[in-house]
Amino acid sequence: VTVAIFDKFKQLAATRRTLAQCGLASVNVVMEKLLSPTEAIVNGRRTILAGTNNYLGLTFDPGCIDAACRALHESGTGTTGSRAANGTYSGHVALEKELADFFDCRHAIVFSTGYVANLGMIATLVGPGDAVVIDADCHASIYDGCTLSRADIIRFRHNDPADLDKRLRRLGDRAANTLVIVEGLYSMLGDRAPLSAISAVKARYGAYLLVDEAHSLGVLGDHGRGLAEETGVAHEVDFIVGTFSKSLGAIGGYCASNHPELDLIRFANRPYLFTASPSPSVIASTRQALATLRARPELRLRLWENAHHLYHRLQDLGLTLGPEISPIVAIRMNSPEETVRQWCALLERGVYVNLVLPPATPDGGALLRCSMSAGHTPEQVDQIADVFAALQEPGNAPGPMV
Amino acid sequence: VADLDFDSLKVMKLLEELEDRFDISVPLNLLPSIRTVEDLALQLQRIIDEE
Repeated sequence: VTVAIFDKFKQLAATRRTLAQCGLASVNVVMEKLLSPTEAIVNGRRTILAGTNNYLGLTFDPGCIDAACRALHESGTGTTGSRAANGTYSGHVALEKELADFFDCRHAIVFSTGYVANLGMIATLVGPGDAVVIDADCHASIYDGCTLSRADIIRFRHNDPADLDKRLRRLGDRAANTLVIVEGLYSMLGDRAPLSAISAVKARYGAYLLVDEAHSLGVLGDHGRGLAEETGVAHEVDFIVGTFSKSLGAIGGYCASNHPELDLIRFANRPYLFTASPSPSVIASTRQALATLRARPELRLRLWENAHHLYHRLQDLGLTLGPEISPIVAIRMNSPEETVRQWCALLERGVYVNLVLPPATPDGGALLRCSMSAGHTPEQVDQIADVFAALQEPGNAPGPMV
Repeated sequence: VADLDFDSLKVMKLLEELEDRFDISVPLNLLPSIRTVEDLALQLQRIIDEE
């Protein structure tokens, strides 16, 4: 007997059955054994990882692992409490100071995940009667933070400062109570926000600007601070939010800001108050990874070399790619079915990329999404491109779905 | 909106066109309460009157 609350999952079950027809039991990949930041055993096969957001390849960095091990022995496996109760250790406080110093901001808050950082900051900064104006392609955590805030949620067309201007103009006096949210690098196509134009618009209306640099920390800017640094408008950005789970190779999130109210925001921030704080080992490896990000700019250079290399090789194959070169290399596909077939064929040939199907895609299309790492060797990048090339040859193309 | 067999992408496109046509913004929060073309027309009218 079907219980009513489960009825809504019927459509999902049908989609999963369709996907299973490509011959794979599930599109949920299990990483059976990690060999390095860029290699794992998947389905018993040695596989190059080209979809992990591990931009600087620091997940196996010996310094980060040592720091995490020391913290485990010194401070235990978990904090068993929230930041506001027993879960603030000296490591959390030190990391907040280091983040503020890195971003050249007065204040920083550490959260348990990047998702929680967005949820907490947005839901606390705006409330009923306020407005939040977000780029249409913003991440789910931003949409969820907006929903939790109960503010009026208004979308503007992706990367369109003129549309943002219209939205703020239509708000009239309310524009001054409005939080504008964009991302440094958009996660699906790897395109940057036009940040100097956007910050000029927000300044004209006296609104506030939050930039999610989840995919741009360690990737953009002379010091790796992100798009705000690269475009030279960091002083116009009110709040920078990001994650430890990409370039810093751990898990957790942060917000950095010059507004003195940031410290007060902690105590009104439900996603901060009612979640256990990150484990000491996570904080320790994140601190070491941040130090490494600052000390070794060559990692960023290698990442970009790999990004250019893959982009050009895939472009030469005639594939339709995202609008600009970035460590996120997205291939636009014609249909979800073709995308699933190609994705399975890549995996069978030892290359893992991200399978992105509607509605997760920006414009309803389907994508194969690669993300490059400083940990990839030029040979690995060639191997990835070679597999894409082999799949394009007539006769090698994956067969139709049965 | 379901009557027109629109997916979420088409709904957003239609909404953007209406927003530009009437020079308004329709907050996303209102979407769950809009099921029919009449609902949509009433909401648009309400927002236009408020301005």
